[in-house]
Amino acid sequence: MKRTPNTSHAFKWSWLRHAVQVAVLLLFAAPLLLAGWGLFGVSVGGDDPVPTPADLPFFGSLSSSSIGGLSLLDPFGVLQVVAASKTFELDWLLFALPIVVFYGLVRARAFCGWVCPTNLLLELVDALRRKLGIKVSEAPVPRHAKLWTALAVLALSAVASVPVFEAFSPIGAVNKGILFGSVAGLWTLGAVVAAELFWGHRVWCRSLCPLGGFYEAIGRAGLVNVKYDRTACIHCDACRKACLADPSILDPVLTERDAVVRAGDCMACGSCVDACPTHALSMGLGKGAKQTEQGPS
Amino acid sequence: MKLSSVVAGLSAAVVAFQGVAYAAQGEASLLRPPGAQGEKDFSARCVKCGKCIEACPYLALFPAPGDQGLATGTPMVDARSQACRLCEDFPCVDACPTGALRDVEQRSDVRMGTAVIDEDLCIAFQGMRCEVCYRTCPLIDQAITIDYRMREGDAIHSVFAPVIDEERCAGCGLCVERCVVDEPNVAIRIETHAERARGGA
Repeated sequence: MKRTPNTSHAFKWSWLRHAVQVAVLLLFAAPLLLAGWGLFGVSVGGDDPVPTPADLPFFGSLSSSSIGGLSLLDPFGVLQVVAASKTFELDWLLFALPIVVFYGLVRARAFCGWVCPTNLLLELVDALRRKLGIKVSEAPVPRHAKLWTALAVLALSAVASVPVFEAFSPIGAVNKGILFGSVAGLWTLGAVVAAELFWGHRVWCRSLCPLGGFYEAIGRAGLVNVKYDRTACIHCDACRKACLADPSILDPVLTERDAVVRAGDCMACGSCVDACPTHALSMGLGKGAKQTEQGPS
Repeated sequence: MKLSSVVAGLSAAVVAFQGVAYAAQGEASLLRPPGAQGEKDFSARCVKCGKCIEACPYLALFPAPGDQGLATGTPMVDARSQACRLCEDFPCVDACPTGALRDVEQRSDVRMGTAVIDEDLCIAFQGMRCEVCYRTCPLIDQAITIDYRMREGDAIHSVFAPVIDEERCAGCGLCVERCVVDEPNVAIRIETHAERARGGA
C-alpha cells in the first residue's frame, strides 16, 4: 500500500495532548474553586469555618493529592524525603506505588509530555522563540545528564536534610503558584525560560529536569510506544525535527535497528506521529519484538 | 561572546545564586501548623504539596514567602493576621501525606510554640482589666490563667495579669490575633518551636 506524502492527518495527537495538559491544570484548580476559594492564595479566612477543598473527593497538587480518601504521592518526592529525613515509612511507598505503576505501564515520561504544566509552558515558550526567529543550539547538554541531576538532587537532599528539588522546582512554581501563590522555584522557572529562549532547544525538559531524569530511569518499561513502519518511511527527518524529547531517540528505528522507540526519554507525546507525512510512525501498545540485536539506545 | 552563552551562564548563575543564598539562610523560625515535630524534622519531610493549606477551614495556613530560603513554599501561620483555631479533628494533620505533621490526637498534643507576654506593653500589667487573651484561648484556664493580685503600692486596685503555662500552651496564636495592643508592638507573641529549640530568639 503506497501513501502519498503530505496527506493531512484527520487526528492530531498534539490536540488531544494539549487538551489533557489544560485539563490537568483545571483538575487541580477545580477543588479550590468548588470550595469557593480563590486561586493564587488570595482568599483570607475569618472567625467561622468554611468549606475546604479537602472536603471534596479530589484535592491536592502534583506533589500529593487525595482521591476519595486515598493519598497519592510523587515518587521522586518520596525518594527526596527518604534521603532528607533518613527514615522510611511504608505509607510513602503505598502512596507512591499507584503513580509508579501507572506511568511505568503507560510510559514514564508521559508525565512530562501529557501532565507537566512546565512542559506546557515551555512548549509555548518554544513556539514564541520560533516566531521571533531566535536560533538556539539543538542539544547543548547530553540527554542523559538529567539522570545525574536526579541523583545529585537525592545526594543534596541527604546532605541538606531538605527535599531539595521541591525548593527549586519550576514545576512546583507553576503548579503551586497557581493554586496557593507559592513562589518556590520561581527563579528557576525564569532561568529555564531564558535558557530555552536564547541558548538550548528545550534544554530543561530534554536534558536537565531531575524529575524527567527520574522518569527516564523507569521509562523503558512503558507499553505505549511509537511504532515504525520501515516500508512507509521516506527518511524526510520530519519526525526528528518535531520530537519534544531528544531527536536521537528516533535513530534506532530510523536506522532500522528497532521497530519501536524504546528510549526512556520518549514522552509518548505523538509529535513525531503527527509530523510524519507518510504515516510511517504510529502509537502502539505493547513492546514489540526487536528487529535486530542492538545496543542500548 | 555569543548572546546564547551569556544567557546560559546567567541562567546557571541565577540558580546557583539561589542555591548559595538558600544554603546560607539557615533554619527558618516560622510558626508551623499543628503536628510539626520541630523545624528539622518538619523541613526534612515537607514536600510543599499544599494539602494542609487546602484542609484548613479557617484559611490560617499559607505558603512561606520568597525570603524564607529552602522553607519558601512550606506551610506557615501568621498568628496576628489569622491564627490557628486548634480544630478538634486537625484536618491539616490528616491531610499530610509524609508525616511532616503527625502524632496529634488532641489539642494538648500540639506544640507549635509558646505565647510570651511583654509585660511592659500588656495593659493588664498596668492595672487595666483586659483578659482578651485569656478569654479567647482555646485552652482557657489551662494555657492562660489570670493571676489576681493587689497592684503594687496601691491598696485599692487589683491587677488581673494573664499568665502563660509554658507546658500547656499549644502556640496556636489566637491570643496574638486578638490582642488589643499593637503600638509599638503586639503585647503577646508566639515564640516558635524553632526559636525555643535555639534557646530564645
